[in-house]
Amino acid sequence: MNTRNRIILAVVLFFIPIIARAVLFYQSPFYKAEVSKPDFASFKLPEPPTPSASLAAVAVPAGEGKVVIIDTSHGNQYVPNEIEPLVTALSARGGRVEFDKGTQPLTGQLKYASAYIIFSPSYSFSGEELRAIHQFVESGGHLLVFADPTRFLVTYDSYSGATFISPDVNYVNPVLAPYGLSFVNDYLYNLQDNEGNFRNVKFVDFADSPLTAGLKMVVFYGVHSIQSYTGALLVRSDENTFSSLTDQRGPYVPLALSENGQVLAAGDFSFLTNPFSQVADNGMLLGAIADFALGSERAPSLVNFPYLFSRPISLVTMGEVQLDAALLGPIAALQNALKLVNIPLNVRAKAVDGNDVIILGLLKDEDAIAVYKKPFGITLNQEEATIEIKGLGKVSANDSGLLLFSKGLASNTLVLLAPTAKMLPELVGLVAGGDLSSCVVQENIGVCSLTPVEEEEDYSFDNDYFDFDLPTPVMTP
Amino acid sequence: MDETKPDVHWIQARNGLLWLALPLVLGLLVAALIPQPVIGVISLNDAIYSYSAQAVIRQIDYARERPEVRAVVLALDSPGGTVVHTEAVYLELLKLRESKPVVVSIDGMAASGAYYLTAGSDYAFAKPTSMVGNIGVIGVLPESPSIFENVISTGPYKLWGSPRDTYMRQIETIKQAFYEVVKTGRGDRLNAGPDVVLSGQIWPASAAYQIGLIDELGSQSDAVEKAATLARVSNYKAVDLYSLVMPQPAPSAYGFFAESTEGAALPYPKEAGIYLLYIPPALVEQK
Repeated sequence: MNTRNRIILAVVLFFIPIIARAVLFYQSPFYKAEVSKPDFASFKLPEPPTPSASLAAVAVPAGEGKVVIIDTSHGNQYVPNEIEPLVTALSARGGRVEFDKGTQPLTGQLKYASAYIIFSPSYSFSGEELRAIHQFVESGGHLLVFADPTRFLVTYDSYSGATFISPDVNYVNPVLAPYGLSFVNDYLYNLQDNEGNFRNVKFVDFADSPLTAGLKMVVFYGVHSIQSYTGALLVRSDENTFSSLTDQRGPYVPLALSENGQVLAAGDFSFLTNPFSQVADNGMLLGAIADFALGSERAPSLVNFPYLFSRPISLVTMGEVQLDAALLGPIAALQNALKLVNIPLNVRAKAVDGNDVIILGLLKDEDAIAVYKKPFGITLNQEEATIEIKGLGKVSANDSGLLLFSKGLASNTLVLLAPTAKMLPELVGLVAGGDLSSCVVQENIGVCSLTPVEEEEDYSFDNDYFDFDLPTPVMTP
Repeated sequence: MDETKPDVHWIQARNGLLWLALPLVLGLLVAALIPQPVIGVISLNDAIYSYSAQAVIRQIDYARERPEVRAVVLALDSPGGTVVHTEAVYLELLKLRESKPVVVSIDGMAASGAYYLTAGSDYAFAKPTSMVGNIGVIGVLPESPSIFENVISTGPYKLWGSPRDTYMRQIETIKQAFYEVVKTGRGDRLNAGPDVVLSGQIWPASAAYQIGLIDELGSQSDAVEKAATLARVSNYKAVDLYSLVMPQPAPSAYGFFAESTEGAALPYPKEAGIYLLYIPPALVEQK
């Protein structure tokens, strides 16, 4: 073997273990990969949508003097400054906002309200309250119910350690049930096109309604969907909006109106609060809701006394009615009751033009009262001593008083008819107290049970009373 | 016999030694310098916060600098953590992947920020019932700004950091980035759109596999094998890099998580902030 071959062999022998080890470990000595990286600098903060039109100032206070009652007596989950934009909108329209703290029966407060607003309650409404609300809506009042999926009551059972969540829908759905509306215990979300967060859903599909007039986009910030069987679906979501309850695509409805147009249900009220009320057309919707709250036309009803009148009142008597001492007391009470609602009552010989009128009369003065009882279909049977009222039947004329209310363009008139002059003060007293619980009230006729007053007896001093022998004192030892 | 003539046998032996044995021995010695390939194992069994992120980053640096470390297996059992520390680990992971493959092996959970890291790997394994996903961001809005009689600050957000609304939008931006990380990292392997991926669900790995959030159901040794295959090495050894890099054993994450009155760690963070973190639902309610 020559030297050249030896060198080659040596080199081969030198590299054999190196190559063997390298091959043993590494199929490829090189590794190089292209790794793509997101362009973090390209992500920009999503901007809130701006209003499509500037909010016009309210030129004419449309709700002058109307009252809106806001519920605070059911553990409602809001703080006053949250609803300040709504309160301001109501005030700007001439409305007055009162808060129902639950210290008085709801029936009493709803007598004079244009609208009753409920925000996310945490407690149930009693049967009595539900009836009062229903009666309120029946008489033309507007009911606005706001729920919100971010408002719920969390209770902790220290005994079991369990936590319970009570959503507001549990407590508002019984209120809405008579009107074919109900909130779903969900929230809506949109992962593709939202207002800064998946739960802030944009809505651009509106029904034709004064409540949605001019709206191009509203945003709800955490919103329940609403099921409506008969009412108007005011706002609808797009197909990329999902319900958390089913994770199914929409469309869903977050704002609906009952069939009678008097009950508004909204699955969110964050959009009424600042700063969300300034996003997109939320401010316009807020204004429309304020208009709706003040836009009720309540049919005056006897049960709403003293809120039957809107003008100064002339109190007049007819027939044999005399303003005696027994009657003046109840009339003073009536005057005071009306003074509380800023309506002056004056006793006059004749009604003044432009005044509302309260007339005191007796059932037996048939001729005098004929003109008043005729529109109500009332017939007085003197022989049977009964009053026949159309739709109500016969009642005794001896111990029943009648209240007849009629609403007119120029004035409203309330007629109080008692069987006798002695029973008239009691009837006036009932009305003055605003408590017609002893009366059957049907539309604008009230039949009140009165206590019969016996004819006056002679209570003059009777000398015979002392005509007996007085015991003679006996001395004792 | 000529005694001055060199011994032929000796000469042959010497030549043989010189030309055969010596190169071979030298070759063996040099070959010994070729290191046995190492699959570095980096474990993250904790929330992602300052300490745990730094520990992982140091191990990534070590793996990148050492030629014998040919691939890395990132073993995850984490609910995620802070955004910034997750991003820090993610970016280092991407840099490592340019030179060495990274395979993730999910043990109990790779949720939120931990899945962010998973999306930054070349390949992902999980056990069938490992929990995977919870893709999204969580944060508590700051208080509305107000002023105090005795505290003077020089701007409306000096005390509050940012407006509530901006904070919400920042969270949305982080979510967009998270989705982009998932989309970029998983590429064609992702079988679901944003409405599914960004729903925030946490899935068992078998379901996560169906929608392409992971590549395979398997063990950590499967992950090591896969890492070796991607790095094209054999006869490797798997080495836990933590002991080579960190002198001290890992502390518990008590500094990150809130504590109960009894001192036990709770699974939500102590401080308000923006997190890529999975918080068990019952605890969200209680908090």
